[in-house]
Amino acid sequence: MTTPLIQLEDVERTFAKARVTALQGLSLEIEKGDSFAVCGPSGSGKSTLLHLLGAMDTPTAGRIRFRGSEPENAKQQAAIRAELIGFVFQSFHLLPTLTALENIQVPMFGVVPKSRDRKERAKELLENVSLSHRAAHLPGEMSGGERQRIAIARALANDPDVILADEPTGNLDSTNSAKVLDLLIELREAKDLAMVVVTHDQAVAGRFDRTVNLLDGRVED
Amino acid sequence: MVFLAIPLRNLRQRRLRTALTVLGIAVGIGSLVSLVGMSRGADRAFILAALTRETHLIATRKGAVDVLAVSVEEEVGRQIERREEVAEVAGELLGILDVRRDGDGETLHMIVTGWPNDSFLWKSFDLSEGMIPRPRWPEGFEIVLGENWAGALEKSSGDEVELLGYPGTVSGIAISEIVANRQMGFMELSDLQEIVREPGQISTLNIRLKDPGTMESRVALCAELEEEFPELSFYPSEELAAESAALGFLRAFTGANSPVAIVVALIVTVNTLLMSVVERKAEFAIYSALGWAPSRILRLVMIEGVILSVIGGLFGVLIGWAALRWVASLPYLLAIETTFDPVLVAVWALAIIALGIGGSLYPAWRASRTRPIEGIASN
Repeated sequence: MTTPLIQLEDVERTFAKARVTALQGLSLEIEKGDSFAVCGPSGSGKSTLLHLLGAMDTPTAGRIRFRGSEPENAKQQAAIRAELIGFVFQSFHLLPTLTALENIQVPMFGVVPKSRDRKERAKELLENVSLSHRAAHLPGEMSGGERQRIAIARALANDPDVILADEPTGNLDSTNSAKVLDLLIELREAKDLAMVVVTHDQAVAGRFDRTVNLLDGRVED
Repeated sequence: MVFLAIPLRNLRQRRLRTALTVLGIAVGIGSLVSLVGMSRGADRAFILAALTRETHLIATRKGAVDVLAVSVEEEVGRQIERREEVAEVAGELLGILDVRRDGDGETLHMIVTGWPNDSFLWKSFDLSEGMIPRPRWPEGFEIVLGENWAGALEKSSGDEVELLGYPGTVSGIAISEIVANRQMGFMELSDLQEIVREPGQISTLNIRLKDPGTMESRVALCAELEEEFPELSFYPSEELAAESAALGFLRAFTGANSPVAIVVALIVTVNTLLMSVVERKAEFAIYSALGWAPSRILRLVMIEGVILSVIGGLFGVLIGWAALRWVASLPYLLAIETTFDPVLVAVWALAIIALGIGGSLYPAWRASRTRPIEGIASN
């Protein structure tokens, strides 16, 4: 039996100040090649789940293991984010002062030691998302669809095992939504990645192997 | 892309903020450079002036805080001159006198020194024109103007000049590598004594030794002389600056103001970086979300701080140096030697880097504590 990439065991996340329990009693395993959509109404805990899966947040109860071990501090969590996981956000979150090629290189600091290797790898990824001609452009000079494709290339920078995407098509028109979704699925299949996508859109959810429905912080049966 | 490209790009993209921070640091460092430069330059000007006159020892009234305010009997010089080790003694009277500038009629204040007409002090004295002053009182007086004063008053030898309301003649113009000599007036001792109404009185005694010996031997001789002449203080010329009360005040002033300038530069750096860190919280959260360890974010902000300090410090040194040169060129201010001092430059360089590191430490720590979800909460 192989160790799951990410394993949630009876996880709870409570926000004490707001007196809100965003997630409770959640157990989940993500293995290589898994793909599922997380659906649910606003406030159901979708984003909280994604943050926990991405080692960006810590549960208030229960355990989360990444490749079998629990991170003990911020540095270990950062290492998990850098090496195991690639993120795609709804608002792209590209760094406005850096070009497309440079944005893709940001996660590689600390993982790919040589600057020349970082650049070569970024060029390759840019080519994979068909945006080589935008290498020297700043995010502000690109369309929403292009920005999200750059963000996808950045998520793949360190060759992760898991892609976490939070409403990846939420800020895009229908044409660009379809393109971005096709690209994500194509890359997932090509690299046998695990992929978790948070979405409101049932059509998007339907493109993945299974759907996890959340309601009031619990998985709906 | 190398790591350094990211902080550089951040600073370049936020031009106005970068420019204002650089300016703030430059002003702080600039004032520090000019203040310290003034104090050190004045020390150096005093020492060089004494050394080039071949004065080995200086004597002043014991306990005199200001040599301009107290006087010594000229006769004491002749007694000192009888000592075997002493080659020559020249009395010197110093005063700050009003001088009227033709044209605008403005009254300026000139440091005037009076030396005996036949003393050794005149031997190493260079004139670009004219001759050394002769005793003329009561038919007026003669004065050699340092070249800065000649320029400021637009005078050349033979021109008339008015000191303390007495008319006199410019007998020559002094040129010198020594700033102090360019920024003073030089008169015959007895004429100056008459003008300031202190006949037979002097401010200091310049003592030339037959054998200058070593610093230790000169210090030992000073101790002997102080025993013989208990009303006087003796010290080697090299210690002139340390013994000068006026320069002591300047040093105290500089010492009191330098920390203020450093604190100003430090506050500017901390304030700007802190504001920048608060404003860029989302950006740091993205770095963190993409796997940057807290230490890498800390390094990013600290590098930005050091870059700002280095650029600001560089401009500051240039501004301070320019201000110092300007002050040194004014004839009616303190004599300042603006010599290039590589040790001081190294100290400045280290201080500027320390400022960058010190000023960015707290903002960088704050940035490094940013949690990834703080910047992507909008999702």
